[in-house]
Amino acid sequence: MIDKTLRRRTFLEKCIVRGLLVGAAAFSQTRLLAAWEEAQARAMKPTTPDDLGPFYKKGAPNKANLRVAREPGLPLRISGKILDTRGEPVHDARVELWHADQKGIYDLQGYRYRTKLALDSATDYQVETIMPGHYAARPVQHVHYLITAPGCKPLITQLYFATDPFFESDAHKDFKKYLLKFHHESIRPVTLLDEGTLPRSAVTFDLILEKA
Amino acid sequence: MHRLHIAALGFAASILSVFGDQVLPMVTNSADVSFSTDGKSLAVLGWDRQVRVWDLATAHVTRTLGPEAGDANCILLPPGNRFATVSTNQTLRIRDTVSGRIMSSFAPPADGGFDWDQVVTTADGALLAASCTDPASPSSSIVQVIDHAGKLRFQAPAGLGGLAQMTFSPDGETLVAASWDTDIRVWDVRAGTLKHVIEAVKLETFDLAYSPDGKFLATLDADSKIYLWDTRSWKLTRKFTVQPNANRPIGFSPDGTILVTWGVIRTKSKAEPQVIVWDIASGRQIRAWTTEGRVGLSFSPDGRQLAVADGSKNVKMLAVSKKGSVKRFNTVNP
Repeated sequence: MIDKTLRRRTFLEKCIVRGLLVGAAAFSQTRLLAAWEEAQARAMKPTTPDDLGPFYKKGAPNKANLRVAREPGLPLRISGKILDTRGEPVHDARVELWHADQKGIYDLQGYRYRTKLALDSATDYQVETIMPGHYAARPVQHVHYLITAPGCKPLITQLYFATDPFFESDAHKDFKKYLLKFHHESIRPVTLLDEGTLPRSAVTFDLILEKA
Repeated sequence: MHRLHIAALGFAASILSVFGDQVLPMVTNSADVSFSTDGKSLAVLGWDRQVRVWDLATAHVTRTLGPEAGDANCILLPPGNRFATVSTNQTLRIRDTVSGRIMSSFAPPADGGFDWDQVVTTADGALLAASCTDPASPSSSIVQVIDHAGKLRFQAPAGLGGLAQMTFSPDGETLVAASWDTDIRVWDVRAGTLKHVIEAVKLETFDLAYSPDGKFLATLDADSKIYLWDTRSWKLTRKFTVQPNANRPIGFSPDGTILVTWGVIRTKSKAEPQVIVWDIASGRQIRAWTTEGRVGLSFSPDGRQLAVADGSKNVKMLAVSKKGSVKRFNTVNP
């Protein structure tokens, strides 16, 4: 979590107390301050946690292409970076991602539209899938995530789509009357891609983890 | 069965008996139900948050109890001689349904509140288990066991994404919690230590129940599969599929030979909630009843009756006999 109370004066005082300004002869106060300000500028808010939901299934395969031949649904590419709150890339993350099919049904028997990506040295992810459908109990299109990485707190979150008809073209309206839980911070714009003959869509969703 | 609604008009305080089944007419919709340990009375929680205690010999409500000033909610804690109220400052008090006397009182857990679906107590009401989000890691959860003096006995990490269900063993020595991350954790309550993690279930556990003798734990997963675990070795002894879209609650009969499940059977034209009673040994479906909605269930101590509160304005008292076996379930050997 970003320490919002850490101001310039406090920062300098802490450095002096810890002997940093004396010991680090190569750094002038100005350069140290500039480095701190740069780090603050890159500091990022962690991705908002969300519910895991009742349709999580352990043991999903590690695969980037979730599309199924001849299955209906608008092709969707989801991609993003795995970062920590300092904006540094996170290595060796495991990104689990699952969602309903076009009819709003989760596959409980198998692993359709489910993956557990082992990113190893990579610090970004990309999945080819379809736009999830709506279902009566929760008529907001969403994709579930569970992310773990060494040295970081686990993150459970969900991705929502600004183009979802549920939002009636204004995702910032008050939807409390529907008693639906979702986070505005996790709504992302959808880009239509001009690739090939079929319409395709793409969404970018970076995942910001807190250090453990 | 619809004819029995006449009871609400003309025979408001009587028990009607049809084909061995009985109906307790209610003045409000029934939410949950629990037999007393001696089987002489039945506590029924209504949508009005009042607990009505029926004397089953006279078929009269002998006592109505509920939230008092400062209480925000009311829940039933089986067996039916106990219920709990939770005050607006989140203190949970367990009361005797006969006298209304406070038997034990629990201060809220560390996060400042109880999750209504999660509070479980030992059979003697001495210990309470609650879960909350780990303040240090928002996607992780912790479980806390508190004694009636408000002292925290232990707290422990309980997986990712929250807890789906918890239960104490009948002797109160073991706590089992199913996490939304699909792992089922088993703690030694006295030592406060984790003694086993069941990792074999791949979907969320919707409900879990100990057999009355404590030898088996039944768990229901999100794909309508029942797993029976030996609670000594924690090995899977049996697995079978019940009705589609099964959900909580599940429960054992007092002799441990019968399991009752609830679920919604959907067709193109309708969705029909059903309670189904299964003979575990033979794998046969003994009886099935249509319900109005989600249910609360309780077996009489002799196992001959199953009380069902289903959101309608009555409580159904269903006769249970193994003679009525009609259908074998799909058993899968572990």
